[in-house]
Amino acid sequence: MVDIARKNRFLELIEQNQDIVHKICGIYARNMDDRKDLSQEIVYQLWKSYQSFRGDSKFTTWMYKVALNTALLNSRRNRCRVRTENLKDHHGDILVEVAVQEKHGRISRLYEAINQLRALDRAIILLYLEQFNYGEISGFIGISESNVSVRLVRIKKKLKELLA
Amino acid sequence: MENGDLIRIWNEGNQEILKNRRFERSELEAFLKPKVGKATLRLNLNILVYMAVQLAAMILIGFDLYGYRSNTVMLTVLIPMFILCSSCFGYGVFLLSYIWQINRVQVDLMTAINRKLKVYRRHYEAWMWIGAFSCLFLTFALNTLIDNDQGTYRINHPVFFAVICLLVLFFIYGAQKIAQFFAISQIRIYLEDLQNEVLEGSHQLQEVRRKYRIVFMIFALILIILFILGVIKAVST
Repeated sequence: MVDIARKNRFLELIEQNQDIVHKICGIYARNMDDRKDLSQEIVYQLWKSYQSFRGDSKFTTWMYKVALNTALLNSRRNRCRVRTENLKDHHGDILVEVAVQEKHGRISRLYEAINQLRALDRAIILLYLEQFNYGEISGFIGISESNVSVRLVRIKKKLKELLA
Repeated sequence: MENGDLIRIWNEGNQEILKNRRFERSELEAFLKPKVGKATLRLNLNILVYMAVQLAAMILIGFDLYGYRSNTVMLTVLIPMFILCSSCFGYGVFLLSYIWQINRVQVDLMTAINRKLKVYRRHYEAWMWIGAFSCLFLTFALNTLIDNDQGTYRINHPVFFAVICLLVLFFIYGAQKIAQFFAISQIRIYLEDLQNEVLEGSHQLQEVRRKYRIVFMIFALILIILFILGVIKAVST
């Protein structure tokens, strides 16, 4: 009974904050299939970790941490997959992506630019765009605040070049 | 483009784009089930299989201990073997709980990477040898149980026996290494890349710090020289 209540509470919280999952999948997944796979993996890892969540931090902060760690530790799937997929299989996806890009030009270009960054840099810029401070970003990643600051200068410069 | 523009594009754009990407409650509920075929699940399965081998070996050694209770030579072989088997079983339990905790415990990314790498570099490497030894122990325990001749066991060709044991050991280790090679090495390479990405940032930071330190030292040196020159001039006048 307690388990069902806990599960429902968890699903409710995820439903309310599912934008976090979508944003992270947007910067770590290459296509719709990958996005769905990664979403599933993130939600599953969140559920596993939820058992030990004591509420010491805000739910959303905890969610970013677990979701980002999962995305980073699992994004090898895209890198390691042999690139021999049939283009026809993704024809539908491509058409949808093109339609989305045309409709949401600037944000799509920003996602595209972020996608070109290295895995760790994507996490840092996401946290910056979500307006976490340097101390919080450093806590998420496990590097010093000054390291975060140096990296962010470089990342923002690269993003501006890509978006120019 | 200003820094604030990036945040503005991000916030405004996401508000639009995410309207169309909503998961239903039923979809989210379906996500709570684990996906099969993952490398970590294969790793857990491998650990469980060898733990079963160790358990079987411990049971057989237990029978052997009874069967060879009056044979001191066999007892000196079987008792350490039993202790080793139970220690390996304990290590298996530790390893399973360690892997289980990695994703559950809320840690920063760097710690998570290091913990995962520790499993693949150290613990799992040790576990493959443990697995090979466990199979050997099981075979030995089975042989000694079947060939128990009223409390005695005879090895007719000890050198040949030792060579075969060694070959079996390397064969099992090698088979495991090949079987897990692709799954494990891909994860390991990726994790090492991530770790290097983090460390590379630290190296760059150190370089920036060194550069600033040199500029600061040159500036301080100029100030000291000017101060000394000033003092000399003041004294001479």
